[in-house]
Amino acid sequence: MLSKEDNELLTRTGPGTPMGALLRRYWLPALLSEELPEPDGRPVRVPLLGERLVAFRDSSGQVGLLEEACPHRGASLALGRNEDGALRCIYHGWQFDRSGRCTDMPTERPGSPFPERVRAQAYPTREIAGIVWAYLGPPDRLPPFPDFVWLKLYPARAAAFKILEECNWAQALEGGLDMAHAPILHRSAPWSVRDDDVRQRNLAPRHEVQLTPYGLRYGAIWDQDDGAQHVRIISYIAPWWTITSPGSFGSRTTSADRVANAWVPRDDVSAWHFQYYFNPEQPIDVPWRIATAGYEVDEHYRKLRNRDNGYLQDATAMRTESVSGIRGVITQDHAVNESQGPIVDRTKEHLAACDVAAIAMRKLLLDAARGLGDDQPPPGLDPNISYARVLSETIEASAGVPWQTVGCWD
Amino acid sequence: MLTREDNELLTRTGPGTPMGALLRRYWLPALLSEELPEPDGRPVRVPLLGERLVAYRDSTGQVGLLEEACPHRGASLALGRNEDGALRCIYHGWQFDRAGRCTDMPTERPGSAFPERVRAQAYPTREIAGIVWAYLGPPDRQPPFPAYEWMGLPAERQRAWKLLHECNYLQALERDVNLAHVRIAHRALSERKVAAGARLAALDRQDTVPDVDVEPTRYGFRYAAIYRPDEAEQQVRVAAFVAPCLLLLGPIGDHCVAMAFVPRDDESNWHFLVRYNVAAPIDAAAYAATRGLAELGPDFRKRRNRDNDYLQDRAAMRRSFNGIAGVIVEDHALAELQGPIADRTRETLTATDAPIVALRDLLLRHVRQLAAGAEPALPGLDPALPFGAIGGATLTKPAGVAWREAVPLHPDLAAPA
Repeated sequence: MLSKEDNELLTRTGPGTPMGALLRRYWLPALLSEELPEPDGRPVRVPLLGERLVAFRDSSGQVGLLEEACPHRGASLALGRNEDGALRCIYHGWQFDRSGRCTDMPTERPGSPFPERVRAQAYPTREIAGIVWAYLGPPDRLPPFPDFVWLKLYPARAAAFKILEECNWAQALEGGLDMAHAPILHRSAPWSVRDDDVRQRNLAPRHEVQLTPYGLRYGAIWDQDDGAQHVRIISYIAPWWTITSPGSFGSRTTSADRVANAWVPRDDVSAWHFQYYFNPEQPIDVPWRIATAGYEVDEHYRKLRNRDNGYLQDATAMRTESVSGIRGVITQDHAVNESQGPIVDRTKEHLAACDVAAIAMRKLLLDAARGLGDDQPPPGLDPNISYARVLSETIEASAGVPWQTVGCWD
Repeated sequence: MLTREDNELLTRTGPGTPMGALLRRYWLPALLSEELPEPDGRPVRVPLLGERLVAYRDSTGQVGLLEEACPHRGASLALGRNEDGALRCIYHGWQFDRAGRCTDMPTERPGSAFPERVRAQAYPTREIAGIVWAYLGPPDRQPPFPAYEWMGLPAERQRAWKLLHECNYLQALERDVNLAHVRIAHRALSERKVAAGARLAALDRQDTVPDVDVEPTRYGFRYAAIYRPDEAEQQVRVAAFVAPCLLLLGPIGDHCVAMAFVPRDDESNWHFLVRYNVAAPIDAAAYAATRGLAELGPDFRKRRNRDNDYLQDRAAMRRSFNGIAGVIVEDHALAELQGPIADRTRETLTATDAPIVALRDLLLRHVRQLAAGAEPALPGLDPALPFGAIGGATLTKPAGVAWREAVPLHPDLAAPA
């Protein structure tokens, strides 16, 4: 349970908010590369952290990210002409390049110094592994780019996805830091039928958290009769990444397939859910993943099964096929997160033993957002952190072996 | 005319509001039985008094009414599994029965005391004559269930409907305690009369300006409109307002209508309507067709609604005063076009609006007493009241006989002197 004040602090991320200031200190996934298929192509609106931005691939192939409103009188640069290495507003022809410089202002007389005094708000971008990344924070605080392991696996062993999630980013992230729901919400059998999976046989494993320099590791431990332990460990990388353990629902159960998720606020009542489906050891089966996860979206990356059509929940399937009656693991997750309301009211919840990771994540973020005011460094930005080694695990441990020591490089 | 403060006081009904507290002291119609056609069927969202609720028919056929948000982390129980006598959240499998008890919490280890400490907000329900009623107030103040006249009738003599009414509940009530609107707003001429040169706008004051009277009772008040007041034989309509939001209209012939306007939120209400006949079967299909009840969307929204100007037909206005088809749709249009919440600081009331003033006075008086911490004797909550005797009348009477004598009130319903 949070106070109303802390719930506001956690969930409000627009310009000028403390959480918004924290999130702006990180490189964030902004859009998919495929949204800008060619130089001088159509610009794309990119709502991010409550800001209205526009992305365009300029004549050189580089991606610019500008405030959508033209600095002149606010007309949308998304309607603009993308040519000659810059974006030109169709209202009065003002032209801005990737760095926000005004490169032409045809409404001024020759020699006018005005163009040099006008700048478009521009943010730095990097295009890596199928995603255009952006940094929306103070220029003097630009952090190192994280060398996540899955970025190097792209494209043969990693695929990038984006889905609009119609709720606040923090409740979506909490769903990603919650292993208790998986064998329930994602069960491919009705409630009364359980298969032999250890997670189905015992829905109440122990849930434990380990703090790390980048965030935390979260272990769910299924104690076996012989003293052995089935342990699933997922990593939370501040502020919005989670890595699922191998063999999670929606992954190939017999492989090292994993999912890295990031929930980036679009505004306070919706988020961009980015995903990398990846396997460090072998190629991935992308069509299989798309079918299993239910990755079916329209041209705006909205789910085809969404809250407006009740996620096409099928009452018959609830009797015969699944707990949820909703097709696709992603749709199932989004359905429950979105059903909590645009911003879940955390003053009314009843957290249980299975919610320790969400509790730890909230504390980490709230402390970090408050600490920013005292110039405390945000978590996970230390250049000595080797993100290439941060992963997730599914292990069978002997009795007495603490899971915290397994697969942990630090 | 009301002050801004009083208008707020009367129209805001969410949790924590004074009017919300008053309304929550009564059994209220919540949804239709037909929305929950079978045990273990799909749960239904029920927005009510600004609360997000979910109704479901459990394995025994009884109806549960819970807060929609699961007590755990707020996922919607409307997506839940309805089986084994309870509703189970699909997120973590927590299960709650009709009483709000947590009957299973699979994420807790055996022996955990936590399930006993968690309860879903649950409200008691009663299902009678096609309507599921609910009580949303303090448990220790739960009143007796009122047995109105239609509730004991065989199925073929009564039928219930529900419509989404897109305005605050109070202006809907106010429209229908004002009987004077009927012979103006719903005025229509036959084609034959139009062809003969009759004009709709030629209004006869004996029809449009009735004498209006209000008689306080122990359940609310009776209100009467006496038409043709200057003539020896007068036409009288009497109807009953039953606190806090029910009207009993008729009988006209043997047909009666009961209507309740229950706040959905502050800018919409559920219009419940029961057509009944104590003596003979009713023709529900014909009634629905002429009133516009047969044209509702799956969300109980009118197909002719404010988004399409109720498909008002200007050509038809030669014979129909308002050009809108279906009496209920006409009525809804009148109140919805006042805006989501009518601004009562800017109105102009006349003599025929006396029941509106009485309605506001009654509600304001009790809402203030309740808010002041007093425990007032609220109208219509005395278990000794003969609810089956509450109703209206339609009659003609000689000018010399008072309407209250022509239609005497049951003595047990009379307000104390």
